[in-house]
Amino acid sequence: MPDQRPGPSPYGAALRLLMEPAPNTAVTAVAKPPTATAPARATRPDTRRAPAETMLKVENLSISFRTDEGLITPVQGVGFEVQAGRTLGLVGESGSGKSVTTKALMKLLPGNAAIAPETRMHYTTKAGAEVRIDTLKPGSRAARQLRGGEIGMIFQEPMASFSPVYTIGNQMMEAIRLHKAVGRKDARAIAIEMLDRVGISNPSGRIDQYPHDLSGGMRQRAMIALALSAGPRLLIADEPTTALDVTIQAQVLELMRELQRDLGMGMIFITHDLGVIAQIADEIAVMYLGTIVERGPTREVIRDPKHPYTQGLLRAIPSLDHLQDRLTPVPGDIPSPTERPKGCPFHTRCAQALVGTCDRKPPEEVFPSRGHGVRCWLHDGNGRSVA
Amino acid sequence: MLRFTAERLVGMIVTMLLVSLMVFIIMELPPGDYADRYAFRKYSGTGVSVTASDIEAIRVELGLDKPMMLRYLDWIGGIVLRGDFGQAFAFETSVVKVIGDKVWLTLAILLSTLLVTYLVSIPIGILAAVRRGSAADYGLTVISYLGLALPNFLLALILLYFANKWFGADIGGLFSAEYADAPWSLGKAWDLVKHLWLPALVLAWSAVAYQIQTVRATMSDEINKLSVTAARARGVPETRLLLKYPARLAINPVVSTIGFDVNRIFSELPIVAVVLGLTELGELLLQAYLDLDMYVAGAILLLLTAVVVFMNFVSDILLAWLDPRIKLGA
Ligand SMILES: Nc1ncnc2c1ncn2[C@@H]1O[C@H](COP(=O)(O)OP(=O)(O)O)[C@@H](O)[C@H]1O
Ligand code: SF4
Ligand SMILES: [Mg+2]
Repeated sequence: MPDQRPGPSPYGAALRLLMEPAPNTAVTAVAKPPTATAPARATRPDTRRAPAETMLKVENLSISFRTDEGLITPVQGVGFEVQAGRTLGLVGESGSGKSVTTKALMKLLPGNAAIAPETRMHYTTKAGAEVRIDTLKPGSRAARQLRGGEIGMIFQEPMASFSPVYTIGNQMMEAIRLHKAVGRKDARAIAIEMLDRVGISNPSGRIDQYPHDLSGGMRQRAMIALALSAGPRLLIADEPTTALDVTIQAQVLELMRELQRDLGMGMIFITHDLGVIAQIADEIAVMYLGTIVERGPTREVIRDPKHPYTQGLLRAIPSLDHLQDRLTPVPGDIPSPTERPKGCPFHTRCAQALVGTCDRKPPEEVFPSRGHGVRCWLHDGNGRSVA
Repeated sequence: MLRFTAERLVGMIVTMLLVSLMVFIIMELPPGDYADRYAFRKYSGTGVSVTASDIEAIRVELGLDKPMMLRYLDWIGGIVLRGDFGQAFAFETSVVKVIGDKVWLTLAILLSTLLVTYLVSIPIGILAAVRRGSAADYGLTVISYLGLALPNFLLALILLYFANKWFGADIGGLFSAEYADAPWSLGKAWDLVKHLWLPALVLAWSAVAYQIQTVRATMSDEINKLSVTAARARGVPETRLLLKYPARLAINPVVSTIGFDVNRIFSELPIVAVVLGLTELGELLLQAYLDLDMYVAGAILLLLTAVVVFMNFVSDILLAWLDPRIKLGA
């Protein structure tokens, strides 16, 4: 599975920058504001932002599936927040429940899935209204308004996310007219403008083309334009760069950062590549077997990872100037969702596991510093007394 | 699309010419020709002895002595240029007079059968896929297996029995007694429609069962495509979503087998026609063959194959319209 093996990441440099000791605050304070000739580089200037407004707050999200092997619960007790205009990076190996989590937000789970009753999902709309996503009916008008209009979604496969039998313009204008009270002509103008914005040349010609008429990179851009055409306040990007080659990946990432900044969107960016996360996310949530094991500001989590799993993921990232170094991916296999380990879900692969504790009781989330949470007995004062 | 249509149109015309040549060769295949048969019929029992030269004279009179290629050109030229399908020897009139009404009635049966087939099977197949695993889905599956198992002439007999019981004796055939020999009028057309549903239902029966399975299978595949989830994630309402995205592709295999359905209907029509007392071309075709009445047989064969070829053309155009990627591969 390509998903589980991080390829050579072009972001090693950005990552190492983040991992270096913190520059003292005086230096940060006098940092030059970005100018047109010197655009903001890899690390995000999050220290200079105004205190953000929480637009999405997920608490205690658990999702189960009825399967032939019985009931499985691939997402358990997940909680996170997204701030308006900021990016949350959701990172974890394939199968850790990232996609399922975001499908729950969009009410897109299949019929055999159920969200636990104690789940709470609060969302604040563009108009400032509070919506309890957990209580929305999947087919309801309110859910449909949320989809696309408030929360946009882009996927790993740009080709597969377009219908091959309608033009790009047809699909974009449909989305625009579903969420904005505009006629055909205005919808078309909006679509062309959006295509232009994502860097597609000759947008007024491209709009009438079919998805198969575009090259891979263009298709990815068109898909982003499609998801943004109805003006969502939150964008969910589910591994949008995983299927792309390294150069295009860098371009798309740059485009997404730019769009997010210009449109002021919140974003949930899913990937299994911590190097990509370091480029784009303000906050990180690390997922393992359906649980968020560590979360916090990107810079802090990357520089000072608390959870053994996060530490393992960071070691697995290739560095550009030590290509001869072998990657050290997190050793061991992910347990299957039907055999979720008792206690800390990571204990079957954890080198630091405390026998008698980690395999008995799941650790609660503790906060070693403000906004930096971790679920690991090593950081929980009560850990050693459990046994 | 225009170019694609033009290409297919040319293809269709070429196919038709080849088919007409084949039909003509088939017409020539039976041993003997109409001259022998004519002489036998005219003089048998009269005591007149017929000589070889008498038969030859008849042959020259009917134009049967010319070389085959020339007769083919005469024949096809007449059809294309004047709509003249030649002489019906046994009836001593033109072929057009003999087959005239029967052509239109056969076409009416064909089209109403296709209509019933698709109007019933497509919505039900889509519904079964959308409600996959529900009681309705299982019910439909069982019914459609029954449909495949029950021969349609048997169904025809059963339906005929109940139709007679409920609607009176006037249900077989294509017309009520008062319209049977009347000239065409609005009343007659309506009378035809009232009679058509029964043969259409009978002939559509097995195709409906088969096409429900096809539509259900492709629709189930299409529903699970990422592009459908993506459209749902843009807030497209469910019914519109299902019709616009997966259903459009789910009817592809149905559209691409229109030609097969036409073939099948033609081959099942004669037996159903006998049971239901319908007027159609099949019976006449058989009679013409027995009589060596070659231009009648040829006209019927040619018309039936023309319908199949034309329906294949329609299916090609519809397919390209449903899925624009097809034009690329053309
Ligand atoms: N439709 C489904 N039916 C049953 N189980 C599912 C379904 N979708 C996802 N799962 C379960 O959820 C787990 C997490 O899936 P996913 O969210 O796609 O992982 P990720 O996106 O992190 O790679 C899978 O390993 C699988 O066990
Ligand atoms: S709780 Fe125990 S097993 Fe889990 S990560 Fe921490 S040390 Fe390892
Ligand atoms: Mg995924």
